[in-house]
Amino acid sequence: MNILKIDNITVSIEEKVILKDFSLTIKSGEIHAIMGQNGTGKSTLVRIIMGDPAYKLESGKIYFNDQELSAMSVDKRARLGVFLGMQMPTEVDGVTNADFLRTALVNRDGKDFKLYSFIKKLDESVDQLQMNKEMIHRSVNKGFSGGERKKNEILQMKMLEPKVVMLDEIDSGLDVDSLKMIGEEVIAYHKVNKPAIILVTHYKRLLDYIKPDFVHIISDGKIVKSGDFSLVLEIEEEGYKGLKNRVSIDCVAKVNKPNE
Amino acid sequence: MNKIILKNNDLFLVDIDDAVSVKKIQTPFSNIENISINISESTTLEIRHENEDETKNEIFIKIMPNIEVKLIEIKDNSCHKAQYHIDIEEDSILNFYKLYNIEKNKELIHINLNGRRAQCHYFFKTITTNDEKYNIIVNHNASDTQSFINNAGVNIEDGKLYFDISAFVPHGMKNCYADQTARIINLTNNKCIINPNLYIEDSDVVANHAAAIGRFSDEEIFYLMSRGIKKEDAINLLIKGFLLENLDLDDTHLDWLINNIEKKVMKNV
Repeated sequence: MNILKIDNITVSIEEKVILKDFSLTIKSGEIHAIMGQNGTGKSTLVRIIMGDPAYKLESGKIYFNDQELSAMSVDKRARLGVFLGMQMPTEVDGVTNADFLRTALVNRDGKDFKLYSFIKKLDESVDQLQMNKEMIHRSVNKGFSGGERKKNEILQMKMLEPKVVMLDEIDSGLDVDSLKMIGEEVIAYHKVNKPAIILVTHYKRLLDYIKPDFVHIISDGKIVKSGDFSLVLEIEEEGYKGLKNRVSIDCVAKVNKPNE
Repeated sequence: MNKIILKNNDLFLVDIDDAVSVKKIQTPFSNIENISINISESTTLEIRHENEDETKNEIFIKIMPNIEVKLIEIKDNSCHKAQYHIDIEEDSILNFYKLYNIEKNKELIHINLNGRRAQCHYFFKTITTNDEKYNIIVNHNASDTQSFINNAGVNIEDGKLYFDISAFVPHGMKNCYADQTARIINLTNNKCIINPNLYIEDSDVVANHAAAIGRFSDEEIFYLMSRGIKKEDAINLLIKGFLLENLDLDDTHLDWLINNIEKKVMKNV
């Protein structure tokens, strides 16, 4: 059992506080959806877990099992099994997808890296995601459409086999068919590998394919309401504003209970 | 493959066929090596400099009409000073790849597009540890000529890299295309310079230039590290990507460049 524990963190970017005294615990096999309006701190949460140096951890700590994740470099966190599928995956000119993934796996596995297994798995994963095989030999995300970039993120997830999967608005830029396929791929991965999953999304459509065990609404850098999938339906009906009006401040005290 | 090796004032010709003729011109009372290369058929030619001491060269290259030539020039170690006079005749294309791993270098390169529809595709890659200066002059001496000048350098240690690129399209030369791209990844605090110049006298011309000096972006490094790649490996991967881009070369030449990147760059990352 792996446990990701976010312990009372306050996070800022360019001296502006985004997350305030934020706590959440996620166990392997659990799927948590983080929802909320734009600019409430959803992406900040996954970025600080990954260790993006653009974000500053003012106080609090993040643990993965008994290790302090927040004291580690980005690459160490990733090698430990933390993965962030990004909202706008970066274009890396001149570095091919194949080289990129091989280097990542060599860094993780060292002498245990097996080239033949890597090629076989990469081939299978590309087929499963219905990606063009030629994309493997193209620069990372260069000239990729929004949908292709998101598929590329899922390809990386499948290859790296992380224990904590964070997907930041993975549904944006996807057509209906691609969304369904990505949803099914994430669920298939979850079924076999039982990672802890954090999904950042605005919409119900992704959660129709990847049903969350817990749904958290973030507002002003804090979780203001937690619940199950029914909370997603409430948001669909009332919108964030309607929901926010109903949520009183004492909800904050209750929100972490499902995970404690 | 046709191969010319220049080593300590000696000239060695390897597998040279009828497409290439090479002459060494002795200049009295001068330590400049003059070499004249005439290419009359479509072919691939490698020029490799393996000098141990500082050298001075004047190299004349003539590309005859209606052919396509791939020219690969490799400079390894030592210090160099060189002047190039490259003439490209009608309907000919020169694909010129220059891969350098040297201590000091200074070059003046004249590319003359003499015949209609002549083209030059120029790709230069270097890892700079000391002073390197490149002055490239492209003369569009005929209509419908095209030049694509692409320079890329990684500046490390005590490196200072300088590119001055000028394209001239005189009045009356119609439908020409002049394109210049120069980029330096500067991993030092030293000053690097790129001067892109376009001297266009005719209105029926397409001309572009792009010049950039900088480091790799934090976002690129973060993205690679977020997949478990150590910072030094991430930068190595980015440097390889940067220097290997646009190179349509065989594995031997790519391996040569990759080995030099690993030997020279990695200890500086």
